[in-house]
Amino acid sequence: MKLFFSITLGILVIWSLIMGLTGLPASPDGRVKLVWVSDDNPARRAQVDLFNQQNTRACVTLDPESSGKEKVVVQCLSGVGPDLLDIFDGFELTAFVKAGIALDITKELEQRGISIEHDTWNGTHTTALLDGRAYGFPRGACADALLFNKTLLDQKGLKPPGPFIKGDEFLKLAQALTIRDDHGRIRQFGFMFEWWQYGDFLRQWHAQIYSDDGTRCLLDSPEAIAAIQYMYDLIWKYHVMPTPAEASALPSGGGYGSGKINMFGNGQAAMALAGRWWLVVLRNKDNFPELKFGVSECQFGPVRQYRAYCAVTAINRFSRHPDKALDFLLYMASPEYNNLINRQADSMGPIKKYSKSGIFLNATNYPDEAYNSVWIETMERGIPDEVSPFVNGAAANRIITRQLDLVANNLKSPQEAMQTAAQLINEEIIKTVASDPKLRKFYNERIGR
Amino acid sequence: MKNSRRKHRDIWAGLAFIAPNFLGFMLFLLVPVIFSLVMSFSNWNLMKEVSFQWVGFRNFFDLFHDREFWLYSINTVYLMLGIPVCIALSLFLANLLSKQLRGIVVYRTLFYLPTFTAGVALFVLWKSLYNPEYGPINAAIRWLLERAGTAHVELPSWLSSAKNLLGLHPEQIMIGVREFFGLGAREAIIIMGIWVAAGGTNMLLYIAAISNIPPDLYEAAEIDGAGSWAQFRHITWPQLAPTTFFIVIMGFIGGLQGGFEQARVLTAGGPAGTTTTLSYYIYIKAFEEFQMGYASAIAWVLFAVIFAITLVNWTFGSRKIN
Amino acid sequence: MKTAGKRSDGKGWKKVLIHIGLSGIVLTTVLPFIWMVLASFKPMSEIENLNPVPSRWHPENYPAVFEQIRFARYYVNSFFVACWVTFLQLMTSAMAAYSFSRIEWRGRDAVFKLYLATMMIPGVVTMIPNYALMVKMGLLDSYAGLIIPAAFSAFGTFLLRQFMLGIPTALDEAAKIDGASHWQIFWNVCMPMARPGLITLGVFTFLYNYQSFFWPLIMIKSDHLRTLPVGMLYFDGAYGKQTNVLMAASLMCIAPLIILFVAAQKFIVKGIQMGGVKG
Repeated sequence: MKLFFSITLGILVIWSLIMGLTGLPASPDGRVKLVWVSDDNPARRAQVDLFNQQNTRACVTLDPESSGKEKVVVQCLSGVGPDLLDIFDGFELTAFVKAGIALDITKELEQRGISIEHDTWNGTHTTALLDGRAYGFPRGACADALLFNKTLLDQKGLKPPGPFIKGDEFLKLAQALTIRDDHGRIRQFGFMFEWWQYGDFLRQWHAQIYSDDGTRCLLDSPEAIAAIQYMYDLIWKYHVMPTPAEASALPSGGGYGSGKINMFGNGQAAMALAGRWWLVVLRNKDNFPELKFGVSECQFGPVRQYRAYCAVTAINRFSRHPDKALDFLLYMASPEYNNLINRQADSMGPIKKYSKSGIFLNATNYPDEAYNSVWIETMERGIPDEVSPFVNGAAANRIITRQLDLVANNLKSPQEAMQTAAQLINEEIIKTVASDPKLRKFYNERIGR
Repeated sequence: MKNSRRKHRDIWAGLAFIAPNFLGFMLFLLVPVIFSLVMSFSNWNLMKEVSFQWVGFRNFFDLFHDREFWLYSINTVYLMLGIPVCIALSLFLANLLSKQLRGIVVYRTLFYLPTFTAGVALFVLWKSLYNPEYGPINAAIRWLLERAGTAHVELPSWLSSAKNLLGLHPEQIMIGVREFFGLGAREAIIIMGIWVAAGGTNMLLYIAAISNIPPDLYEAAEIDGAGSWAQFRHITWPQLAPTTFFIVIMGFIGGLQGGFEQARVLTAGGPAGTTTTLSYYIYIKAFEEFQMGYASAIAWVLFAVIFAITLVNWTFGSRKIN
Repeated sequence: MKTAGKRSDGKGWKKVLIHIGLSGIVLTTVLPFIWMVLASFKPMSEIENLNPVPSRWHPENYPAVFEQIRFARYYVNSFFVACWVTFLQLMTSAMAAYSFSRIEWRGRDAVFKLYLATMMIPGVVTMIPNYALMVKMGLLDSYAGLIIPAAFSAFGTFLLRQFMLGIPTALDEAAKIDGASHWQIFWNVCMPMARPGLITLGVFTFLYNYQSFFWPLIMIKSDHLRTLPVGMLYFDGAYGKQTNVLMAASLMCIAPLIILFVAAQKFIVKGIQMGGVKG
């Protein structure tokens, strides 16, 4: 018995040594290894590879965990955080800055003559800048547009829409492209969005999630309700979109990525509201050999503006190699990186001037895509989400998601749902402010008390 | 003299043997329990941006007014409705398996298999089984309906549906709401739970208990001409009371703190939060939003409820059994 | 057992009826597993097909699992963590159980009552401070963070104590007279006699930690440290529409458990019936 346990212990110790030595892909040639928490996909890998080829001091590896800002904050504070991390909106930026994690790089950018304010898209500024200081560099930006399947339009004898269309024209197309079988079940959907794209609709109805000072949630405004009502109507009144149950039942050809991208790629939905990054998947001829599609700017609502979103990469202040991590951010301002992103279609490169250059507009590498000016147009009209420093982003998101879930399933009217959402978020704001003295002071200043 | 030295040495030996375990026990069980109780009176947050503060009973007060907390409590209790069915099935199976039959071991093994392999892998399997269009469950239902000539009845969409058999409203504390009648995600999880557990631990406990019933009781009953139902009713059931009692208590404890794993894999707590249980809520508050103080308060309320129910069961149950 | 035979319902047709009933229930138990095996051999083009039997057997799904995620690494990680925890828990529990059952020392019974009392504390209560403790100790995102907190078990101690109480004391009295130390008695007398108990506890500890989900989910960040259940969750999220590959992964996930179960069945059943183990 003693012998058995001793041998087991011996084996376990040796095993531990092996496990400790393997696992992490070792960095070649003694360069410093930087870890970047970002989603892992072929496009991102190519971006990292290009950097690793060029840079002599450091090499970046991807860590594909992407489960929420809070988790990353706690990891950073406890010393196991990555060197580089992604920030997706102004709320997250505030949190990272207040937690002392995002490194201030204002001076470093100035020294190299790079200005976030002038050089990058407007939609990225609130995610990278806080009170005039820069805490990261945008790695890409996007505003969504309407993708349409040319083949399916052809089959119906419909003309592809122009570079800009309005809601009524869109609706006619969507209805014409919705096809039912003999049982009345829908075989092909005219249109499709993801519910988390509600921000786009809010923008077009001139609605806001929060008041400008962030102290109040405005989702119960008539504008916001009208925007959500429109989304609801597309499913339950016009029946041009699958209900959640129909969507979950639809099979898709498999492969990586969201089911909705595949649904569009397979022709199950004729049009989709999508970001340019969909093209990374859709261009793949192995998955979608027959797909031919185009892009239009589509104004569903009364206002011609869109929701801009972006990802900003920041340096973890607790990183052991902040100087080398900075190399990576500077790489994101380089023409090589911007052209790579634009060519890959992993959204749009952060620096405006490279996207407006001939290489991109003329689609030299992808002659099918002679519509790249559409992306620039939506980008120029893109406005980022407003944020509130007074509420936990994860909690607010959970509240909104649940209400939208109910609307999507036709269990609650958009009006009631948005009223509940606003009420719950406002309650959450009061709770958050009450439990944090520093925040309370700030809040009182803002509401002028 | 020798004896007392022995005793004296014994205390050191005793402590030495228990030391490794006891250190871990202190560090990872006893201290954390007390620590979490203390922290439930604070706004403890792992994010550095929130400054630490004692808040008295405010977490508990907030909890009382937290609509989500009540809804998730209802979810938790609703998902526990499968437990009695499960126990009844376990008892039924145990009874069958206690007859002298060939191949008992094979049956027992197969019944126990789902319990032994339960985990993320099996939940992923059930997620596929519940696919409303291409899953075998709805395929079977559709086939049956077609045989019955009622082909156009709407099939349940299982995991993406907020409907339930009681017509519970997903965000108000209301029962019998018309639009919510039906089969939904909660039923899906309950059915899966029954499949996993019916032939599991409880069945084995019942088998052991049945084999301990003195056979002369049955012999006497047979002489009196009692049928098998009467035998079950008057001998087996009362003799099994302590086992049933133990199983019910364990079911309560497990059910009240359960449901996280299934919901995380199958529905991520949705649709519209209908499968979020209290343990899932604690996970959200503690490890997604890092409001550790508030999460500790929920955990302690849960603990208090479990403790109270066990206590009541114990006093009430043991009185009844004796 | 002989006596139990007397009360078995002697009539043949009744037995047949019971057999039919039991087979029916077995079928519902086993059908999902069968469907899983069949689905794991389907080519991609047939996953929407309602016929569960693939028209063409497609074993390529199995290597595909290893290509799409670091399945092999997750597999090894799960085994590694579960083996360490099982080893440590058996050691610490057995030693503590020896102390509780074989050595007389002042305060022993009070400490044992404390152990018993903590057994009903829900895991979620201790989970939160334990996570914070791991953060403080710098064990977040490490194997140690998975192994160490799981290495101590009040329940294991309780179970082994029950086993050891059942071992006659005559043997260690004899050893004591021969001048054997507690350490020698523990290894040479008590542990061999407690073998069934050790196996039972070992199997359940291994099972529990192989399948453990909550703790690795919150502790582990890096891909190369992920265990199977968490890996399966992300796999389902990213490739969930490939039912065939997913089923192949699931099957490989539970295959070791099925082997373990068949091999150690006797001890498992005994252990449950003895201690009311929550499986």
